[in-house]
Amino acid sequence: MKNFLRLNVSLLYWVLVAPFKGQLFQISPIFRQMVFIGVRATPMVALTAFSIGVTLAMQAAHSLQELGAEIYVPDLVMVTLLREMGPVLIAVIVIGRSGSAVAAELGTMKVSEEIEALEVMAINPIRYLIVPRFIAMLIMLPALTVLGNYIGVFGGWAVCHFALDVTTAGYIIRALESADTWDLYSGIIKSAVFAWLIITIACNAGLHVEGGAEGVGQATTAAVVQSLLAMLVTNAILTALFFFKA
Amino acid sequence: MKRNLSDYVVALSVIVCSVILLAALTIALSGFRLKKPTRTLQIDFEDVTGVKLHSEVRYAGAAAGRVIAIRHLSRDQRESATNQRNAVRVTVSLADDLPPLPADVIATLSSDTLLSPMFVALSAGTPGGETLANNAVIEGHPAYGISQIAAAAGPLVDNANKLIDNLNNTVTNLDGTVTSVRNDLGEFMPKIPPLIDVAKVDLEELQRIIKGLDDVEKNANAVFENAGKFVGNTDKQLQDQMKELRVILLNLKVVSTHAKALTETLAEKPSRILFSGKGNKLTPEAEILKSKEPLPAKKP
Repeated sequence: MKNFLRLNVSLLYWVLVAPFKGQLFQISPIFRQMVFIGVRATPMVALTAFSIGVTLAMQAAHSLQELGAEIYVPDLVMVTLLREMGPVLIAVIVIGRSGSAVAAELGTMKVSEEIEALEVMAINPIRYLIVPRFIAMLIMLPALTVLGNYIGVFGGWAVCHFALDVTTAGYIIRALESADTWDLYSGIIKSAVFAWLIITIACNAGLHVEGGAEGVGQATTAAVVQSLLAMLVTNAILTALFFFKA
Repeated sequence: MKRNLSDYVVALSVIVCSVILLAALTIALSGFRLKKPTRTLQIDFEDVTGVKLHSEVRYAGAAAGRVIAIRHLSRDQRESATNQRNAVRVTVSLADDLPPLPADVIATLSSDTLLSPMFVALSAGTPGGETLANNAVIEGHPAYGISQIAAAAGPLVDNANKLIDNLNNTVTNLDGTVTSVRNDLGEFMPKIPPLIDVAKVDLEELQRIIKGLDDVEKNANAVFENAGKFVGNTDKQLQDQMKELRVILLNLKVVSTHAKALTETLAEKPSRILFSGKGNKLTPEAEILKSKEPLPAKKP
């Protein structure tokens, strides 16, 4: 926990303070990490979001059709995706794909003493290795969430259009009427917080690997499990803060 | 360097696309429009439950616009309004191709079904008359759905509550009455067994009397039966005797008539007892019997 907090403080320093002291981080590694963390995860995210949209619409239609209220299927798909399912499921995908990869990559570098080598060369490993990943994740996870929201809504439209008597115009109008901008931005804020958690947990796990290849495997597993748990608990807390008024 | 450039392009493309999509979704959700509505209508309602920003507006059942603003009326506006119960002003934008609205158009809140979303419904109005000016303020009428019926039933429920309270008092009073009746019954109940014994004895006596009366009735029936038989027999004897009497009277009538003739003849000539003479022709017996009045004894 102490290492995790120390890492976060270092990250804040290198991202917010250091650039104003002339210690600007490199841009090209950030884009490389964006491609690795975000762009290459796009197909998985798209498939997941589409499946979730279709599933949500089918489940909602099953119950709402009995009441003759299938017109509310777009409402349910839109609000559920924007508020909860979009950020959470896309974060799960990114944890499984990118979080584990980051932990494994850094863990391998640690085991092969590359990080010590950087320190020997007076290169700060946090500035050189962690900051690009952190910024990339912080940008790409919300971007993937926006993309996933669209694809999920498209999945809901597919069910409404082909299986229910809801027209495309009716679907779009209902979907847009049901949600407001806060629903969208609450999801984006959630995904940004998840991005922070995922990348810092993964980096922390990778930077503190011990025991060779076995340690790398354990660190990767720990990073995924801890990221998932932290993400789900944080999601509950944020939902309570944003929407729950007792 | 080539790889770096590729990474830049791809990553930037994704970011730009995401930003564009985010902006588009934000604009769509916020209802922001580049073109400001040219035709608007303001409607004051008492209650706009179910209607929200971007809710549909229908004119004569067809889509005609959207709700673009909902705000509460100020205190001054409410006091100066015709209907002081109106509390919310809904501003709707109307489609440009919508014909001018008649001045007598009626605005209500409605929904297609109980579960459907609410919309602002404008009635067709009467064509040919005055038309509403742009941004005119009209009075809206409440919807008559389940919620309104429930709201209207509120006073009824209050009255029912009062009724229940009164009923409760009545029941409480009744409880006191029942208690006093129970006490009275408690005092009265011990007196009932002796009364029942007396009534039982009286009942036995009564049964005995009824049995005696029954015997008397049987005897009386026998007496009347005998009396009937007696009367029947007596009547028959009387009838026979009356017939005999009638024959006697008839014979007496003939005899008296003939006796009269004999008496007259002897009175005229007593010697006829010794010396016969020419006989008188007497009135026939059949004629005497038929006549209802006295007849002359001799035929003239």
